[in-house]
Amino acid sequence: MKKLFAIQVSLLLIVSVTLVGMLYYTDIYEVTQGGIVEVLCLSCIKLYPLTSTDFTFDTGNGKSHPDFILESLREGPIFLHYSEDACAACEVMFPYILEFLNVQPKKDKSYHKVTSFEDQPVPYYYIYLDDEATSQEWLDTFEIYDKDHIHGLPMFSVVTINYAHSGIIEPYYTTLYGIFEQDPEKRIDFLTELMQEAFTLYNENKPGFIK
Amino acid sequence: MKFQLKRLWSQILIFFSVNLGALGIKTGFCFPLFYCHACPAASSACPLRSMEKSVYKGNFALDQLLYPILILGFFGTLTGRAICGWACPIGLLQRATSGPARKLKKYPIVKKIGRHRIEPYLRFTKYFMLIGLVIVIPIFIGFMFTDVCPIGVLTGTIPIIILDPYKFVPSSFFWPAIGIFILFIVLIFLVERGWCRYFCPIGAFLAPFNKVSMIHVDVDLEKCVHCNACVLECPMGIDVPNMHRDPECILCGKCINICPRDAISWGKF
Repeated sequence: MKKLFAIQVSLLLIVSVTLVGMLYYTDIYEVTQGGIVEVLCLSCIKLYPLTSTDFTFDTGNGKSHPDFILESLREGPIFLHYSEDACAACEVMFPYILEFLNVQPKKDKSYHKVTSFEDQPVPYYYIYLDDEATSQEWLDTFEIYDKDHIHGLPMFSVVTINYAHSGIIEPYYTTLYGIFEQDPEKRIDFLTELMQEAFTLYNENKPGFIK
Repeated sequence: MKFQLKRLWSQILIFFSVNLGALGIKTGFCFPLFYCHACPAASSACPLRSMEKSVYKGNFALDQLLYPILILGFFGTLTGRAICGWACPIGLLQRATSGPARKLKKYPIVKKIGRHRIEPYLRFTKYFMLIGLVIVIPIFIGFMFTDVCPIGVLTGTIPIIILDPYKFVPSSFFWPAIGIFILFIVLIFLVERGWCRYFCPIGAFLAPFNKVSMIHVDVDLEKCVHCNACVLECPMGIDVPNMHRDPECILCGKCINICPRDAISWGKF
């Protein structure tokens, strides 16, 4: 009896001290909160958001477009690609995006490259939410461009420019979620049409883009 | 009877507390029970998702693996599988669906099936679910238990479809998961606590803690007259008089309430 009691107390002490130590000395609480609880797990719900290609001026959380996006818009329409650990749909989409934009990021590392689409420049950002090296400015864009307030992955945003009601040319974006087409060929066609629309808007408005 | 009412209140209160996310309370803890973080109202993370994510395709994140283990270990050391009987919302659901299964138990054929020698071995399925589907397969194949989890369908998929009926379309996992969910529903109506007995990976994790938990159920064999009232009452189908810190016991206390000789009692330490 005494032996069992000693085991119980020892086990409870070891578990409690380790748990408190983890919560105090590591960022596991924030990682779990930001990486699991607050991000909608599309695999867990077995659903993909219904994708619409409608562009909008209104950011997902009402915040303004970050400086690096405004800077990159001087080069061309931007392609933002969001991913995380243990995301089945992210795994499906990863090779298609690589092929589509001719980029080679590592799956678990955030990455940036000015690539091209139909011989026109496209700043490409691969934002891996679980990569500790990803800057906060990049991570913040996950909420800024979450157009339909899904907060789920994978997520893809295309940011271009358009003439706004305010009378100036503003960033204009759309966001896609999940795998958006079951057929791989249709998926590429879908992305191609979207990028062509983004370039049409970009080329029409580039001369007046004053940011 | 009052005691079982207290247990019901405990289950209801915990059901509301795991859904505090509806009030905007989204914490960074893992539930020590089975509930999906994809539920729009969930306040914490599913421990299984944290485990899967930590080992997915060999990408080991030790802290993410250790964290749910420690949370489950803490509650397991204190109470063993009492979490299943007193806290888990899926336990509450199975309590609500136990009526048909309890009626079925009276039929001789069902009794015979329940006593079949293979039945105790079927209970090992949940350990295979925990080790195989939550740990090993995510490491080597990348497929995860949460991709087809019936609790995810019940607490995540269905509420999301109801709240936003035109915002989502089925993924490739949707129909297999719906199939498994239908089997889950059939199971919990046909077998009392069928999910806890055979398939629950959280139950599998907590089960060994019954051997060392601070709270357990004791049977005084000198008082016991082997009337079998406790065996018939036990929702987990345990041979109560012969159990000693049985890994299957969810500490619901029904056997304590039913025993005419007061031979069964709570044991502490």
